[in-house]
Amino acid sequence: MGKHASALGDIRVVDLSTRLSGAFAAKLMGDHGADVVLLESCEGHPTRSEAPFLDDAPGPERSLLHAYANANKRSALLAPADGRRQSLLQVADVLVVSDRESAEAARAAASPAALVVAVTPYGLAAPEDAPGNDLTTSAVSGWALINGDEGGPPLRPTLRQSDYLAGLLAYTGTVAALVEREQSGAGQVIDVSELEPPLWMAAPTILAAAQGDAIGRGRARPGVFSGPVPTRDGYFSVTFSRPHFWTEAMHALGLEDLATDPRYLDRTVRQAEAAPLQERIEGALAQRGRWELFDALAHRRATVGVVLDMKDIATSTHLEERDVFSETVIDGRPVRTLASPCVMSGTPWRVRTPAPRLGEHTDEVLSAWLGQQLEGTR
Amino acid sequence: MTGPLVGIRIITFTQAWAGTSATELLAFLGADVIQIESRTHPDIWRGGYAGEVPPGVRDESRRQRKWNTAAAYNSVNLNKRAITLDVADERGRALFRRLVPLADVIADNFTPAVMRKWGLDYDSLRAIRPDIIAASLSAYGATGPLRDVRGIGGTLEPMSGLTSLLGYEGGRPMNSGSMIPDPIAGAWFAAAIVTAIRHRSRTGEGQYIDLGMMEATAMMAGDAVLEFTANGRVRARTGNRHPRIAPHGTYEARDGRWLALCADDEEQWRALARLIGDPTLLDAARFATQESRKLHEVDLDARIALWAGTQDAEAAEVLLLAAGVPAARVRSREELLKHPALLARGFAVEVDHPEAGRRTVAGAPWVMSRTQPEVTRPAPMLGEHSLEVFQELLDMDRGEYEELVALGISGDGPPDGQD
Repeated sequence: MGKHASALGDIRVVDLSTRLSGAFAAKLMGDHGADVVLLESCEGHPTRSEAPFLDDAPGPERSLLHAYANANKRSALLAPADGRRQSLLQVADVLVVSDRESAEAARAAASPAALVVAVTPYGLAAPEDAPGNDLTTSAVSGWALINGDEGGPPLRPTLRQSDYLAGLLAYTGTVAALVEREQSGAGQVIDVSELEPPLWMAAPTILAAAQGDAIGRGRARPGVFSGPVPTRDGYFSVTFSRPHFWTEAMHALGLEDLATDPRYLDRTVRQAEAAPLQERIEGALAQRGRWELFDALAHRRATVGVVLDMKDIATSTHLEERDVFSETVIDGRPVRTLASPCVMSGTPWRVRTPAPRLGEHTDEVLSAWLGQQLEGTR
Repeated sequence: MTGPLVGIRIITFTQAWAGTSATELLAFLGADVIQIESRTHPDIWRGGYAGEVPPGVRDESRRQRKWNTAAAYNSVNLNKRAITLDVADERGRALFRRLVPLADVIADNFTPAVMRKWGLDYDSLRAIRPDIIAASLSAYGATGPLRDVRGIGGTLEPMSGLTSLLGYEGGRPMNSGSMIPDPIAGAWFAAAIVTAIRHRSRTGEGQYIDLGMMEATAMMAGDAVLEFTANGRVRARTGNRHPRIAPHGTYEARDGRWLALCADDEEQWRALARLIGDPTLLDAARFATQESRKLHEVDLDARIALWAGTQDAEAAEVLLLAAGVPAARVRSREELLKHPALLARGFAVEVDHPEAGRRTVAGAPWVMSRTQPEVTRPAPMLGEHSLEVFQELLDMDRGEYEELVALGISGDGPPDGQD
């Protein structure tokens, strides 16, 4: 992979992560051409054990989470006591870890110019370690507070947002530190907490609360003012955050009296009359198809969205034309995967190689990274 | 400034949240981020000129203008400098072109046609500075059938697939209580920009970044997309349930507060069961393995809910964590920056804004051992750094600046000068 002209083509990464967050950070480095070695022991990276599996048949090569989070890596299988692990750590530019003990071991083994990237539940600089994951992070960060129905159980975010976001920010911090290293030649520890990214995302709410601003209720009553509502063939979302969004949407739905009555440009008036307004708007939406509504409303400069499910995303012609997908392989089967979050004209995001089989590249990595030393010890 | 990107300059038109959250991340990392607004179109998150200073920030000892006190703007623009420069006016554009050679990155979050209309698209910028990084963020990107459609967080959440996955088991799809595609897309935008900076520092080559919020947000559902492409199954809404782990949920405590907890392995499960003190949990065959607990999670949830209903949330959290069980009470808004880890790490940081006052805000989400990102400035006031930036970068004298103010091209308040 080092041969590709890419932003990180000169960088060697050892991925010692045991959490999705760190694995995702290392994967993104691989997206940009870094030579990422997932250093595993015989039980394999924990994502290999996460459901769902290909055809629902468990197996270390069949986890779909592993397929997504460990693409663009090579796998080296070495026992914890194998001295060659240490040798790999010594020649890495970046070492990714998921806990305090591994961070300390990585620091001790790595070169002074290496970056040790730790992505942990509460951060290395926290006063004490506590067990945590996406669920508990959602409780501490305010995510659970704002998601779900009033009166119902608070909801964590979909899938593994804290992990993915922490991994993404760890990637960004690491690349920034690589830019700095070109000048200083010095390594450092980059310490990312899975708790802080979702709190960073809540910054507006937090400051609004501190300033005593009137802020909307966190958790929603069902209805068109708070989220998607049914159409003839699926769910649909309309936003009214600016006055002209309201006017345009009411015109397009044929609700002329609502479009032309200036009182309804005021959000507080709409809230006061929420029940009857909701009934009329939802009634109008229910009679039409979701894409028919999208075409009618989006082109009037209303701001609307179709609730797309995973099939819709995987088959989206828009995303296809944006070159968002790549082909990958899961246990021998070619499948389409999301690969690119944006177009980059010089260094595109790419899934170049599928997630590795456990130990698939052990010899190859030892030879490429430690060739000289290996020959010397034989 | 501190941080690994000291020496990088980003001149940006980003406003509201998505693009601006990206440039804030880069400012945390030490880049000199100069945000351009115009007096006719200040950042929409300043909340406009009309109206009063919010009651919670009123302070007679300070000069206060409403547009400088908005929590929304002030929460997502830390570490930046702000200038006003009306590039809708040709004289403003001419001045902007003089800034381009001094910038490493030009960023915007306009709909794709806007920069082209102003003659500030990538090709035009590249003609001024060949190695420029031009980064554009929009709802759907500059190409593809949806390129001209407008969108905001509330509509991109459904269009990215996330809404279809959020909700109770068997229930309707939900939008999150926040416009999460904004900061998600912003985080990807920052990642792309810093990648381009690294590429340029190795090769001397600039590039163009064209980010659609739909595709960037969808990346957070990559494993669920594979479930369709590999298994042909559309992921359903599962509330707080986990594909492998049970228990995994939120439970109402005696005091009406909610407690999130799970047991990820045998050790955590045994600790939880011992704490609950129900001998049938540890003895029952149907809870003996992770697979069987997952199979019987409805029953398991009912038992945990029963126990939670006898506990106070905060005390239960302490007990569970001490036993090694991942647990947390659901925090209220007021508690969000008070976790000891956040204080120790300097993430929760106090800033003193000249008009909005002293507050604790969410800061930089990294701790670095050698190039520590720090919050060095509160969010800027409208036009606060215009004269400073023009003097520093363009060697402009005060007379020329006053002329720009008189023309409405720069300055620091409403276009008619009333304040």
